Amino acid sequence: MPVLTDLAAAEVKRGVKTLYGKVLTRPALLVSDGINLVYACDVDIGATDPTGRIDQYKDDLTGLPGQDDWTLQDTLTVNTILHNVTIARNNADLIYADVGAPVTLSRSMSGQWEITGFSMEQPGTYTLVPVNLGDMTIGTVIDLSIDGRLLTLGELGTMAPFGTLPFGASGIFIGGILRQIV
Amino acid sequence: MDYRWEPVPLDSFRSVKVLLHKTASIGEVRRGEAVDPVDLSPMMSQGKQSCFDVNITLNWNYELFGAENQPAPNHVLEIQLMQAGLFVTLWIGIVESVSSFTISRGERSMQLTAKSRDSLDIFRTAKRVTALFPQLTDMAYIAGKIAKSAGLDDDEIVLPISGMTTSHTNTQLADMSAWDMLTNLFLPLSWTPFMDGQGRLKAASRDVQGAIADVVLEPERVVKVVAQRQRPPATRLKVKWLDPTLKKSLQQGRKLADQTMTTGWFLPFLKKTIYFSDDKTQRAVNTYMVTKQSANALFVPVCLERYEQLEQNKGKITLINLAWGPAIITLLVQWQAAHSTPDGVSGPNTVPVGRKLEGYAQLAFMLIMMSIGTGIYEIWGTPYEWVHARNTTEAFDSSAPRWVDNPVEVETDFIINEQHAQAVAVRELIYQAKSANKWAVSLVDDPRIEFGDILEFPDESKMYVEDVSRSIMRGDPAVMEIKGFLI
Repeated sequence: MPVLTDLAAAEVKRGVKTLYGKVLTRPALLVSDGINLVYACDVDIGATDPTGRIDQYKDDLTGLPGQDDWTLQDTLTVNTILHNVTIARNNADLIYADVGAPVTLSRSMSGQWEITGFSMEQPGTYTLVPVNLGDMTIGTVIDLSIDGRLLTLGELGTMAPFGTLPFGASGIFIGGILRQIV
Repeated sequence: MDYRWEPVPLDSFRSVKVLLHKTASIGEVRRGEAVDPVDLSPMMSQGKQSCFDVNITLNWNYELFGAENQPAPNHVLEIQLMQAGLFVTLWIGIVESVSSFTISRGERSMQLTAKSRDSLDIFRTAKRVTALFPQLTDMAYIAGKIAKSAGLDDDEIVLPISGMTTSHTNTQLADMSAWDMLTNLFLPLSWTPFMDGQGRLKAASRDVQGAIADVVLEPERVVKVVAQRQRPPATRLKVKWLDPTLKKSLQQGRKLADQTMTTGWFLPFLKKTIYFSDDKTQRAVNTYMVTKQSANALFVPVCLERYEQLEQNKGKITLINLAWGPAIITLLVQWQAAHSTPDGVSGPNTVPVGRKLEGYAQLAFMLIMMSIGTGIYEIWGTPYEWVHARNTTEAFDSSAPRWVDNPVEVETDFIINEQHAQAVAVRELIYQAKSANKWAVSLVDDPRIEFGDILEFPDESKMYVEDVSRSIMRGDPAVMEIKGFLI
């Protein structure tokens, strides 16, 4: 499969050429052109979806004012993550970017993004405050922050029979709740 | 509220002066120090004043003939209203344009437009850069600096106490107009900057939830109410803010540096500082030394190999020699002493005692001389950086159906923490959602009312004032038009 076909080409507001992101999966040889090897990883670029992240959760959230809590369905996917973003050549350090590392993404003329360096800025927390403008009540704050990190030894043992998950496995957390193991 | 004024009595008529100041500054006009004003009101055939501008039409005979007499851009225009038998300054602005200048048989007319000082290019267009403000600088202090750079005097900056300071180590605003700077600066305070009628910088609160009315209107003062909805209300408000707290970002553990070192009997210690990157800036934790080739690889133990991390960006390799110079001197003395030992034979062997002693001393000496080794070491560890997170806090209308979704996004770097961001997001959502519900009302004139005031109507509904306008023609009914939104 050609390298570029699997790359995300996100439509992002204002035609920006540079984004700051947060690595969510450890860079790996995910794609290959047959001769040269290309490292790639998934990157959280923050909530730039013009429709807003709340849209994808809205039907699946309970806990509006007057209710008890918010729950997320297990089947939800996160669509503000760029998948299999390639890492620019001659960036040995970038190959060692671990889960959670802040990176700079540049967009090529053809619209694909690639990781070109580390950055001093990254997407941070994402919280939602429900406000009922009808009766002016404020509901429970919802945390939809995306985090990627290595799973701890305790987590490796409790999520599955110990030894099933490899040491070094990482997870994507939404609001502190594990959503995906990568 | 402009507390210099009293509400105009019912059924009053306008008594007004429109004064043109050709040389005085806004400050001089406000302080009453201006001389030689020209009263334009006798020549006015139309005139209207709002918070932001004044438009008048002048019809004249000979008074405004000649370049010296005519109004021109940058002259100061002052509107005065009668109160208790005295004319009091209501509004001060700057002439922006003179248009429709017509001279024909029986007609000499011109139109004049004046703007409040915040409408001028020095506030709205000219890009500027502020000084660098350290952490904990008061926001109102920064606003004052910006206002002064745009030409305001100390007594023209009338801001409330902000109670909020900058949270980042360094703050500098750049490549923005002064008004944009003030707007950005005031957003986390939930303020809107505005110029009052006297050309002074003030701030109006944007916190409309549960706001207390500044003016409670009696039924007879309300002349007319017109309501409209110009645009769909905001249903979501995102605040994107730069987290002042740096976040530690770890990378994968890897080799950070390598070093080849040679030591021997000639050195008691060999110390080498190792930085974790060539540019000496890479920081790392959990660093340790991997010995690829030990200096003790030969049979003779040469040294102890030690590593310790000194600081976040460097460590130190220390090789401690086991046998060094002073020991050699001691051995040389022993060797010399062995030379002085008389030969003799002990026991059945025929080896002289002195030669044995010499041999021992020589062996020890040679062993020390062999104490030379080269080690190859690598420093491994987990690099990390401190980075800023750009957080997003969103307040959304949970009662709005999905199909009316109307998101608004604001960015600010003056948010202190998550709680502050949530408070700003909620306040701003309420303000923006409410502001879609426009109202226009006609009231019996009350010059106290200015931008940002809250009016309460007899039915207890409240209105946020966004603009005030009135006719400034002599003899017109003293009525004012107010635009704003219902809260």
